[in-house]
Amino acid sequence: MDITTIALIGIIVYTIFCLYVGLGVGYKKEVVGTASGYFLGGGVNYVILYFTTAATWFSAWVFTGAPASFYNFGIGFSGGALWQLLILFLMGAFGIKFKIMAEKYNYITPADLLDDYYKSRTIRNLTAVSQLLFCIPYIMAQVTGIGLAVETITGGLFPYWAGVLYGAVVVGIYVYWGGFRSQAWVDTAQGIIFTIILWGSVVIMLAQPALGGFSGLFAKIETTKLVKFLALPDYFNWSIFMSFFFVQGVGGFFAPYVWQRMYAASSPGNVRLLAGTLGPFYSAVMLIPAMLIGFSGFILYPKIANADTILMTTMAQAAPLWGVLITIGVMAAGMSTLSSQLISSSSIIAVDLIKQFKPNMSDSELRNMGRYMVLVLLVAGVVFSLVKITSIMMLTNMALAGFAQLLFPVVGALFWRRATKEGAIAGMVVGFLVTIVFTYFIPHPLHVLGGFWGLLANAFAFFVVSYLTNTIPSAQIQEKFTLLQ
Amino acid sequence: MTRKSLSWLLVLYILLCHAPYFIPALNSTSPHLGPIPFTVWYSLGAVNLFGCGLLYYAATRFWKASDEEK
Repeated sequence: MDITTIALIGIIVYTIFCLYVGLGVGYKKEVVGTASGYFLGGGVNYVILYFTTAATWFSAWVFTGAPASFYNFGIGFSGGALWQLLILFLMGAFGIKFKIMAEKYNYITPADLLDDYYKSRTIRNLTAVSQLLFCIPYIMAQVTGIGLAVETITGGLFPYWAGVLYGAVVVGIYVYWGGFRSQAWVDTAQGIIFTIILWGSVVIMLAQPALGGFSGLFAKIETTKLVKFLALPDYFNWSIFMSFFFVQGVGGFFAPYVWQRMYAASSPGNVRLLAGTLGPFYSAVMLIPAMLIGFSGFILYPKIANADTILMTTMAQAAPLWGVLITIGVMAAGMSTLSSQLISSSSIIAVDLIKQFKPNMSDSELRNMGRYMVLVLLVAGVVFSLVKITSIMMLTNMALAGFAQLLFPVVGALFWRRATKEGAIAGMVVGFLVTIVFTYFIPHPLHVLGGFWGLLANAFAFFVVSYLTNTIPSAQIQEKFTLLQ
Repeated sequence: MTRKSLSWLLVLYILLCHAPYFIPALNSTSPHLGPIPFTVWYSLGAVNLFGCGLLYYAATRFWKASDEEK
């Protein structure tokens, strides 16, 4: 049986498995009957919450971009593991409060919380539009990744466009029908699958004769730049490391598809437990294999043109069958991230944007609107992927920086009574603009990422404008939010 | 654990993450942990473990108490 036939069988088995989990095990009719249930899953237990959060966060990047980063930047990219823990500190500090508020006041989207405090349609719209602006390119990126994976695994038998359609249709089926709960269960299965495949890949990489195993690998990289933290003017020097640390760490928590997982938890206690236990998975289980693969690639292919292909290049020669599994792992990682962004983005469009114009929408109409938006987003993702609008992809580079701009408005809502809606709006607008300017037009001045400058500008504008404007007067808001004091 | 001590421990974690850029002794391959150079086991091992341990402790001691007060 040739590799292509095995690959096709693998895809079929994997697809049936995903649909079985999504539409069988993970589907609950009574949960998807309400808008809140459709978008948030009706209370997800700790185990499913753990894996859906992890699988949502880690995309195909762990197989490609993460090893490439260690290949290019060496141990300086250890920040990629260490800033993951900052996300979880924020989860403990903010996420538990998000859940408490969501339970009491039926929040569905991040903007629900911010609008409830600031009583500002502008803030709702700013939050919603900015989050969509960065989620939609990610949807396109995942669809693209799945299309490339299918084309690769079938040796071109199924071309890129067929792979794109395949990914969109399969994910679309279980997300459309089952909503958050279905995709969380499929995420769990996919997360376990790609974790096992990733670690298996490490074993095969380290077994390459040219490396000499685990000890041999480190003996060989001992004298290379990979084991040193770099000084200026190298790219991953301390200022880039520092700014990545804070921008990725903050943005990684305020991404809507992570924020809404706080709402989706079955209790605040589960959010607390998640924050306390996800650390090893986030920082070690995913990133240590990436480091080992990247370092191995540096020894095996010191002049490789595209470091993203380290794994596939090795498997093509050393273990073609495992290469099939890696491609399925890439598909699993991409589909788990895609499904989360679909349900999150559809909730933002339906709840934050469309409902403003149709305030009398019933709960079932809102749920149906969410379903329609899943389809619209998928079509958009497919079209953009097929037309290959690369300019949109630029937005993925600053997505986390964009999400991070919500930090100070949230701080105001939860901790600082002096915060005003004008301050929040000023902070967000200034933060976005500065991030864009210092990411694309004057890239990373003083070797500091544009998103970090955006955060600094955001903070300045937020606090100054808040002090210069009137505090929020409503006693009702004070009473609501002092629940958290 | 108080809020203040948790905050300081978080600051310590952040400083430990960045320290190899400023302290030459931490930007060195020695001492090794088996075959693993110091920079690797320090950052992805020791500091990582400290951060994960702090998170677990915060979740089971500090955030738990805060939850119960509500």
